[in-house]
Amino acid sequence: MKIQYLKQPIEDHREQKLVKQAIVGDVEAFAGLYELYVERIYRYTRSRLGDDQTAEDLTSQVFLNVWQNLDRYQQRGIPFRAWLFRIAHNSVVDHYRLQKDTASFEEIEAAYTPEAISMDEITHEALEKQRIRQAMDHLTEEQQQVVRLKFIGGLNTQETAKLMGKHPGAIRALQMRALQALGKILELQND
Amino acid sequence: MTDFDIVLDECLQKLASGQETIEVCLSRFPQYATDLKPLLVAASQVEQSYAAPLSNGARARMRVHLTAQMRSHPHRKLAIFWKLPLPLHPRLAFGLLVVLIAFLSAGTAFAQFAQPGDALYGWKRASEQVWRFVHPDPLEADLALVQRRVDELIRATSDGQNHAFVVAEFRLALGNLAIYKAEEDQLRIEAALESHWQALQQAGLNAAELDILFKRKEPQWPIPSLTSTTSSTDVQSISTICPSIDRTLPPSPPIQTPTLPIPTGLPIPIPTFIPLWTSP
Repeated sequence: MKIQYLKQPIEDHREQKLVKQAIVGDVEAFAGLYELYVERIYRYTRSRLGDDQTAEDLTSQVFLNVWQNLDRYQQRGIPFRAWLFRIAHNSVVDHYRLQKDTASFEEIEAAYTPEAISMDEITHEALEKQRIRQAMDHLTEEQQQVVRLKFIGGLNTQETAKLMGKHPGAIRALQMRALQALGKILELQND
Repeated sequence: MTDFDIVLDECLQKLASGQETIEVCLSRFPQYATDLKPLLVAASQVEQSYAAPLSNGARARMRVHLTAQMRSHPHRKLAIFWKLPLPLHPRLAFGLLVVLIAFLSAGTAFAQFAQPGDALYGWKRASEQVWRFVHPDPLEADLALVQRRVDELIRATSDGQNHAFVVAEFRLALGNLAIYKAEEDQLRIEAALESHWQALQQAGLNAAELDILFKRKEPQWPIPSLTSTTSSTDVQSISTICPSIDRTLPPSPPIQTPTLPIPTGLPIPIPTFIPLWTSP
């Protein structure tokens, strides 16, 4: 099977330097951070929303929130990436909450379900993607969150643990159970 | 947590960083290979299925949108305090210290308006003692404190308050002046006390009252309210502190004698004049 490797983690030193500069208002440094993480945040929000346009808007909103609250980051004591993904997670939750206030559940589900694929996209690759996304729905909320943060957002175990407020051992256990469940579901689907 | 958790995590980390392939990882852990393989494959499938590379157009569009938003929502600046690179607990302690200092400052300022007998008067006296302790010129500090006691006496006179405690405090302040024996100090004290005498006279105290207040003339009977609250340090007479004051002050009026029939055989002396400020 052809394996596409996850991108190599960004050098912490460069990231820290950009964060320090951005905190004091350096727009160029913030642009550097944006370039480093925009794709990961977009992938993460898209995995939660399933809609390109909404994911784009929400990604911009995430970076705007980060820009406005950078001063607060200093006192958090968690890796910048974990903090960034926490903001992304909260933005997604807020987005759904806002949608619930203004639309019916069926409307939201119809608009944002990850399985909403147009006829043009029904190819072998699209069907494969749909199969995996359907398998993801069978995982618990925490297992889904670990999978999204680690394999879609590209966080390591320590960063994921910090973000979710858990011990790294608990994250490793959740990760193992999630992958075991996914493996079984995919195996059943193949049968 | 089992060894398998750790092995799986290590393999996933190596795959993510591009340092190893699935095959290399399985060959490193042959005892786990059967269990590891489906999990590593599932992980890579998840990553692939959600891979949604941003087009250049989308990236540019998002950046323009963000830049516009950043202009309309400037970078938030927190107070300098929160920028201090301190861990949480020292910052909390620092915050509490700031609140405590603010409380003490406000309380001390408010206490300066307290009169003898008020709840905050002790706070006022304590702050005065601190101030006196750090003042470079102790005599100036003591004279300023006497001035404060005079102000309290005038205020108590105008408000019709009980004078006993006020007088006691005044005489305590006077007693503190007894330690200054130098001639130049005596001159400063004399000038200040003359000024106080006149101020109190203008405030309505008569000469007899002033005599007793400044100890120029001892009353012929013990004043309970004074003797009970006055310490042994304030028994210095004004003539001891400032002998020349007698020459500048008006003569005392004759002591009034009671017109009522005086009973005989009483065990205590009969007062001939009761100062106003000793009345309850």
